[in-house]
This record gives sequence, C-alpha cells and structure tokens, in this order.
Amino acid sequence: MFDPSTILAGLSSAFTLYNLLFVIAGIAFGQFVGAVPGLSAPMAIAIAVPFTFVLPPLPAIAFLIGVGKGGTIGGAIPAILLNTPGTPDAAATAMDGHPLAKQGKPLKALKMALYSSVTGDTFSDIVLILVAAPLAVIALKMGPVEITALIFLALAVIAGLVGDSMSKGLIAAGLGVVCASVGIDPEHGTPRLIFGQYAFYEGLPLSAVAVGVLAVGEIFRRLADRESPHEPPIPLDRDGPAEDRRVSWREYWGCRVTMLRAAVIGTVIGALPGIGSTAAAFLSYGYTRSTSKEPESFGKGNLHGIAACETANSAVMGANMIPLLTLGIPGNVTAALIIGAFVVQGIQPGPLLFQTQGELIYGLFGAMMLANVTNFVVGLLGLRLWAWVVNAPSSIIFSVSLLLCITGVYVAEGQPSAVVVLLVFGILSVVMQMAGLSIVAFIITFILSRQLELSLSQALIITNGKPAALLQHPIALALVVLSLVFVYLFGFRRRPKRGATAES
Amino acid sequence: MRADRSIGAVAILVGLVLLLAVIPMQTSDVTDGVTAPATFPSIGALMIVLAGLWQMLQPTGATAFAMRELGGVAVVAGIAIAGFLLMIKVGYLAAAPVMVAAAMLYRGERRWPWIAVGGIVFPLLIWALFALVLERVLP
Repeated sequence: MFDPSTILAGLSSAFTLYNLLFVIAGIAFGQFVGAVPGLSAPMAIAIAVPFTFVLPPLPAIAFLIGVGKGGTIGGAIPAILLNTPGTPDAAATAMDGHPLAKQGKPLKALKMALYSSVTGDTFSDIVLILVAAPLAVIALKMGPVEITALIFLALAVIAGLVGDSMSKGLIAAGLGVVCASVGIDPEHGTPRLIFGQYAFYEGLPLSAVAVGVLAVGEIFRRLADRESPHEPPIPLDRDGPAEDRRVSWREYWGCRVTMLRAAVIGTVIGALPGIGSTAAAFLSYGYTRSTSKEPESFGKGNLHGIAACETANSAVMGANMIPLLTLGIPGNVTAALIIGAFVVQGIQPGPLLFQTQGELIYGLFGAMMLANVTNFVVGLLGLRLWAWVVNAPSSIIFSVSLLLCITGVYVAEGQPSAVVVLLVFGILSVVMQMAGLSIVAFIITFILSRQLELSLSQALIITNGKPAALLQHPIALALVVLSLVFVYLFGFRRRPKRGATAES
Repeated sequence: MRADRSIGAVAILVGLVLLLAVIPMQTSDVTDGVTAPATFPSIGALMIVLAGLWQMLQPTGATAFAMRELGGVAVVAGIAIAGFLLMIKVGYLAAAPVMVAAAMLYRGERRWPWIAVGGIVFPLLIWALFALVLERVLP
C-alpha cells in the first residue's frame, strides 16, 4: 500500500534533467498546437504519441502529459488576443480576456489566464495524487441517470449566459440541438439529417463547428472591416503603467474563491466521462458571473471571468487521469490516447497499477508537478512572444489566422467536407451575431446535446421512463432540484429588465 | 423592434420546415426503443418554433444587420471557399499564398513587403510545420 521508499524512488526518477527536457518539449509543443485554431490538446497528443514509442515509459508519458497541459493554456492565447479561441474550452475565456486585451492590457489578460490555468491544473493533480481511488469509486456511481441530471444542471447554469434575450438564446440552443442531431442516432444506429452525405455519419465534426462558429465568424468580420489595415488587432502599450502588463499578488489572491470553486467544478467534471472541459469552463463562468456582486462587469474584462474559465478547463486535465489510473477507464479522448500510450509501453492501467507499477506511478505524479512548474515558466516566455506576434498589422494576422483555421481543421478531421462545414458555420456565426442570437448558447448545446441524448436514452431505459424512479437515484434527484433552482436564480430572477443591454 | 419580430418569424418558419419536412424525411421510423431517431432533432425544432413565437410576441435583444458588412463577409467567405477549392485542385503550396494575399488585399493592405510576408513566408512556414515536421497530409 503506502510505501515511502516506492514514492521516493518514483519521485527521484521523475526529477531528472532527461525528463525535464521532454516535459519542456511537450509543453512548448502543446502550447503551440493549442494556439492553432482547430487543433486541440487531444489532437496535439494524437500527433505526439508516435514520437513516444522509442522512449522509456516515464519520459514518454511525461512528454504526453506536458503536451496536454500546454494545450490547455495554448487555446486561451488566440481567444484573448484575437477573440478567436484555439479550442472550444477557451471560448469562455475570450468573453472577458479579449475585452481586457482591447483595453491595452493583453499581457495582463494572458498572465491571469496562465496563473489560473496552472492553479487549476495543480489543484486537480493534488486531488489525483491524494484521493484518486475514493473519487474514482464515487465517479463510478455516476451512471447515465446522474450524468443526464448533471448535464441539465450545466445547461441551467449556462442559461444565465444567453444575453438579454431568453427567447433568442432558446432559438440558438434549438439550432445547436438540431445540428448535434446530424449523424447516427445513439439508440438505434440509423443515420439522420445527413442528406446522403456519408462523411457526416459520425455527426458534424466538432472542431469544424466550434472553430467555425467561435473563430472563423470573427475572422470574417475583422477581414470584412476594411478600416485601418495597418493597425495591430489589439493595442500593446509597452510604455504604459507596469500594472497593465502584470497581475499583482493582490489581484491574484482576490480571485482565490473563484479559482477554488472553478477548480472543484473542473475536477468533478474531469473525473466523469463524456462531459469535458468546455462545459466545465462555461459552467464555472456562468456560476461566477451569476453569483458575483458585479455581474455587469463581466464581459468587459473582469479578471474573475478569466480565472473562472481557465482554472476550470485546466482542472479537467488532471482529473481525467483519475478513472484512467485507478480503474483503467478513459473518461475522454485525451485519456484514451494516453491509455494507448501506456499499453504500447507495456503498462496496463487499472486497479492493480499502484501495486505493480508503484514507482512509475509516483514518477508520473512527480512529472505532473514538474510539468505544472514548467508550464508556468514556458508560458510566461511564450505569452510575451505571442503578444509580440499579434503586434503585426491586422491584415496579416487575420488572413494568416484564416489559413491556420482551414489547415488545422483539415489536419484534425482529414477530409475536405470538414473545411466546408468550418466555412459554412463561420458564415452562420456572422448571421447569428448580427441577429443577436447567442453563439455561446449554440455551441454549448451543440457540444452537450450528443452526450445528453445518449445518457437520456440510457437513463430512460434504466428507469423505464418513469420519473418516480428518480427517487432511487438520490444524486440525480438532487441535481435536478438544483437545476430548477438555478434556472430560477440565474435564468429569470437576475435577468436584466427589457431594454437594458447585457454584454454577453 | 421590427427586425427583432422578423427574427422570431424567420425562426418559426425554419422550425416548422425542420419539424414538418426535413426531420420526417431525414430520419428513420422505428417501432422499438424509448426514443425515436426523430425525437431529439424534433425537440430542437420545437424549441426554435416556440422561442420564435415568444420573440415575435415579446421582442427582446439587439439586432444589427448591416448590409455593407454582410457584403464584405460574403466576399471574404468567397475568398476562403475559392482558396480551399484551389488547394484541392492545385495543391496547398500553390493555393495558400494566393488565398492569404487575396484576403490581405481585400482587407486594404497595399504594402508589398507585408503582402510578401503574409502571402509567401507564413503559408510556407505553416506548410513546412504540418507537412514536414508533423508529417500530416495537406491538400
């Protein structure tokens, strides 16, 4: 069980220069790929896995962990600097990060994202190291009924983000549900809404839809705006006050409650299969804004907004490893890729892993902590570089970003139809924004609907379609009640009066 | 106010077309199971219809359709679509610089050194990174 010599041996094998170099390489690669629209942390890991086949187990896994951790902060960079999130989970970060950057404080916004990302990541790693096994057992109790209720809870909290028009938010959400329905239906396996296009059997590609709606729409609008092509996309005042370029300890500490809550949300969601970091980020942002004493300051560059999103989506990363290491069950694509790398290295994840490979596991934990510190240092250097890059004229930045979006989605999906989807949803995004329809509501329902439909049909089978059966699932019942409370609190009670404007 | 009501009307129309025509034609009929393939998309379409009705009766939110901006977006989208079709036809290396340069020119960039950097250097770098370093297949 608890053998100090195994722990010490594991940690000492982690803290070597050899491992450090692979962690640094992984993080730098992850940050870069995360910053390319269309390529996400799972894609970065998929690209990196073949490179690890020739490495010993610990550096190989440490490299992949570094890629994953770097990818989470990488997505926030274009979200903050250009309002074009590199990954869907960074879309919420753009809501406050980009306004702060537009105020001439891009480095402050980027640093807050980095600090909170590392904080969330470290929190979930500590939870993984200390209480992975009991948490995994609790996670196992979360069946389809509970997952369905949890998604309803997430949707209820996120309802507060639809803007000043609930009816328009619902139109956007309805569109999200319809678009998510394209492809094979999860219960019967029959194709639907594919119009004879077999490329859409698996549904509309998530990366194409997300990048199209969140990034390409914005790029189209910025390229269509032909004024001041020589100006950089955001002002960067190098001679301005130092506090505009850094996050003070007071500002960081002032966000401690937000970050703690976001870290808990991210860790819980990360330990569960199928929900993912995008929902965690929006759930955390929605809750933070709705419970804030100054909700009107969100969407205008509030540091709490950035902290809420980045802490939550990064906390998912460490928590993903909980079911993987303790039960051998991958909770999402990233974990599934890492489990593949484990197997290639001759390691079988599961309940016996701590007994049979104790030294390696504690080495892995050591590498994770090493990766957090490295992520912080590499991030600080990298952020300055990115802030410098976007000082180029906006004509070049947005034109090259468009090419990166097309290239990234093509590489991620491997088929031309995905690029068509990307461009179509880019146009749809512009029309939706002009019509005042919330693209946040659209993308969240698009992402959550697939898992919701699967869980709901499983839950209906389990409960025979009888609502009374919920009484046998107290966790689900509590989540449903909580959802109703949140719909009232965040959806209706705190909604601005008609005629008032809301920033989201 | 009138534009906001129109959005409600358009939403009702879109929802009804989905509900009455598209979804029945594009889903299979099944006799077993707890949900039919049409259930979930129908819920989405119904949401659009009901929310559209709500929007028509009680218009809220801001609508900002600017035909000039929409026209500009159409041109940029056209450049992107044409650029991608060209990539499939003649290859990434030949088409990507043309696409980026066209987008830069439309954006109003007239300084040739910058157009050269954006139109030649960056597409080459992106191609080298994906095709040579990461060994990914590009069009």
